[in-house]
Amino acid sequence: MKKLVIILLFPIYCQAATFQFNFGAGFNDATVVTPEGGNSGTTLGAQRQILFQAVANVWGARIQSNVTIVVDASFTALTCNPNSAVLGSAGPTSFHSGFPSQPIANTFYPRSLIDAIRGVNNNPGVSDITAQFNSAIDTGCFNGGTYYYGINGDAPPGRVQLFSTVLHEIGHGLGFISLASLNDGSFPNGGIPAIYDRFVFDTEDNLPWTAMTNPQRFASMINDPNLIWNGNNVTNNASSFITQGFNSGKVRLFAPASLQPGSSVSHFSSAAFPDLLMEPSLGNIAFNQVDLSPFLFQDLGYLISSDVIFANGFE
Amino acid sequence: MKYLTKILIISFLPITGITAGNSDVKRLPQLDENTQKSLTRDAIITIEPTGQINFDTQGGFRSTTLTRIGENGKIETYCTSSPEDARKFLAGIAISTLKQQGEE
Repeated sequence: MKKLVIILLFPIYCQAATFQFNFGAGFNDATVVTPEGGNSGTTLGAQRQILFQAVANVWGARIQSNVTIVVDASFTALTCNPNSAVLGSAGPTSFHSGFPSQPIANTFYPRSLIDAIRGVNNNPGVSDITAQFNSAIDTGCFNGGTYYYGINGDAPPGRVQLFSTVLHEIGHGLGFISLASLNDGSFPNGGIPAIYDRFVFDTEDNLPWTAMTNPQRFASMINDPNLIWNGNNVTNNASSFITQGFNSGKVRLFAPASLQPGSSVSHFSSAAFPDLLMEPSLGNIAFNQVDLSPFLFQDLGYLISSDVIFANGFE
Repeated sequence: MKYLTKILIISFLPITGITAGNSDVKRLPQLDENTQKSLTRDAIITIEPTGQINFDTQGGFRSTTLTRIGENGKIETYCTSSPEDARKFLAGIAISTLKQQGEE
């Protein structure tokens, strides 16, 4: 008897990404606080954990991976003055090139993306992202205010919007980052770009970054408005999110001449309108959407899911 | 001897790099050690027998968001990968290309 064999082909990575936080210093702070903005925590540490998990839920609803994304997170006293302060930072813990099933050779991929592509943890026990935020803000050292731990809505006057900042920084941790040197435009290890760098294009030179010499790339880093994102998924979906911030039909990246070369090239241009999460300057308003960013991650190699509407009004 | 002294002084300046630009950088606020480390871009690169290349960021290569009170009294934020631009922002130096959130 002949047997009919049906082979169902599924992509290796096909489920909403889950995040695991290794909560370090500051996440067990027992200071009693009042719940606010949808954050039900009654201690500072609990509110911090709830906020970070809410951020993870936003990214996890769009990024797909069968491998849990592990984030080392902590609150530590950082620079804080009455008129200025550090809020926080995040980035991939490592990049790798030459791994099995690598889509584009001679390219550094961030850990979480490699795991998503391969469907297995490339390096068990090692975190994917490091995130560190300024605990000093909650002493009132900046402007007399503290972080606003609400997960929806704008921060009250004088309070610092944290949700938007964490949402933005985790985006960098997922791979929204260039590895080009800020000193000379070179790529690491004799010329291996990050996967992000493979989609950066200069419309004035009419060259992708990967085809440039180091001096050309160094100059290109501050060649606003000519630095654009050359990925198809961003290009094809951008008009659903912005009406301004284009060059030659492609979304501009942030590369103003007034800054250190490469200082902020790992961002969409501030010329974008309406504003995008991954612009360099979010101000202090609530930003609870990831807008065009999932399509950039799709260009990098992540699978993403369709836009979702959260029951509490997040989009 | 007087003439010789003058020559030495003039030659000294370029060696130490004392210029108006460098002295401005010196006046910028210093970053705390953790933030400085987060903005450091020194990786450890290793190659496995399989040929896989590993790029360990050593806790650096992090984009860092800063905040300040702007000229209009509003809270401004800015994310950068550059220690120098971070220091300039913290010092209140205008970054003219940054628009206020919501502006066209």
